[in-house]
Amino acid sequence: MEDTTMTELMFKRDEKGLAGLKKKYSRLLMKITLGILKSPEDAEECVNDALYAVWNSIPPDKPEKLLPYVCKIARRRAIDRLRYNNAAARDPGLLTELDDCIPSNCDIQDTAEKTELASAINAWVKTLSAKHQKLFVLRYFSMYEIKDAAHGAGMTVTAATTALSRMKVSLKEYLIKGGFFNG
Amino acid sequence: MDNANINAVLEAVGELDDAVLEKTFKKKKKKPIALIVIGAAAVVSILSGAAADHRLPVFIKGEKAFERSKSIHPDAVILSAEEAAELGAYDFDPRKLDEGFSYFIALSPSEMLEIYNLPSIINENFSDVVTPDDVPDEIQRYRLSRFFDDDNKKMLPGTKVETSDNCAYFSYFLVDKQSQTPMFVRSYYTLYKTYPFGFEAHNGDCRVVDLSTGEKAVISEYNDNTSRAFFSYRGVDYIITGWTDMDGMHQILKDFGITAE
Repeated sequence: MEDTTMTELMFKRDEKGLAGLKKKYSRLLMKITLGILKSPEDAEECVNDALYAVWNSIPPDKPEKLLPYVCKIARRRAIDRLRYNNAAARDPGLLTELDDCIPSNCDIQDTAEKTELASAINAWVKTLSAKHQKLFVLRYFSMYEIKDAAHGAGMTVTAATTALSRMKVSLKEYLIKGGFFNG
Repeated sequence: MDNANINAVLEAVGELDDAVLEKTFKKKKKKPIALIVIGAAAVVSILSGAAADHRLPVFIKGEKAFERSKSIHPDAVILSAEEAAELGAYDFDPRKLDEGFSYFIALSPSEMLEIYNLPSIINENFSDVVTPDDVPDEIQRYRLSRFFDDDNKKMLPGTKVETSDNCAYFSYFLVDKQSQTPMFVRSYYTLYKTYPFGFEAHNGDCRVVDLSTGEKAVISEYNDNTSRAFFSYRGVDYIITGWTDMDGMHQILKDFGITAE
């Protein structure tokens, strides 16, 4: 079923839209939530939560692109669950990697700053090649293991590791040069 | 960095542009490769990693004999009915395609598994060029892949194996080149959820064989001049029916290169 058809059906409160969404994207959503949570049970619960969140938000929402819309909701649910599950469930390696991207004196607390940070990261991602964009999304949006992110981007693990390392330096510089943070 | 900042970065990456995410996650339509036998494999490397292991029991004569492990294969490429049709899935019953059945004749089993991005145990000791004379049942000539639907459970006849949703199932014929023994291979890949199921030898005559991974296989002989091997290898379940005796089946496992010897 086409994404636009599913959106239209859900907008009309027709459950066939939700069923279509589940059939088409539940496995992808599972990959994203499993990448973040590492627990199949938690990940599956988040996927179900996300599907019902989509069902409850359309209408009033009518997303132009259903796939990223539902991916973002599923990821938010997984991040919320990750917080709930406390630090023991987190992947310290990945968090350390993200830590590298932000200057140590930076303190991001309010919504406006978070929105600004999101815009800055978005602008920076668009400077990357298609392959590196994919690698970045798989590693830091879906939180895949490096080998899986490399595979998804069509790269070797060595090349992906190098590219991610360069990306972190580049992102940090981009944010500092853009005046987003003080270097 | 404190947790607040870590969360802010996680959230910020979660707000990436829709077009960037769509480019990453939207599956590309595959070009039709039906009827091209040689060189038709899609360039997709085989996934060797597994996301999680689950220990499950194997029963022999009603008693737990040993444990086996199943892995989750979250990176399997899930083909839609349309994509399977584009790859030459045999359209003998369109409803079957919609239900997740795909029968291929132009693709070899290895090619099929490559496209689905799943690991395989097939090697150069086996021929996947199977003639109709090798295959007792006409429909089994086709390589079947099936992704079980969420609401569908299926008991495969005669195997004592029950599986359920989120399982990718493949079946195909191979011929052992050295002994010329034909065999019917069934393999089950868990995509993100496992259901415990047991395996029970058909009669009292069975053999347990050590595998190189530290796992075990059960070989049993049947009354229809076949032997059957059941095992898990690197997280995938296999049931192989060979037109041979238990010694012949043991040799087949050696030819697959998966035994401890």
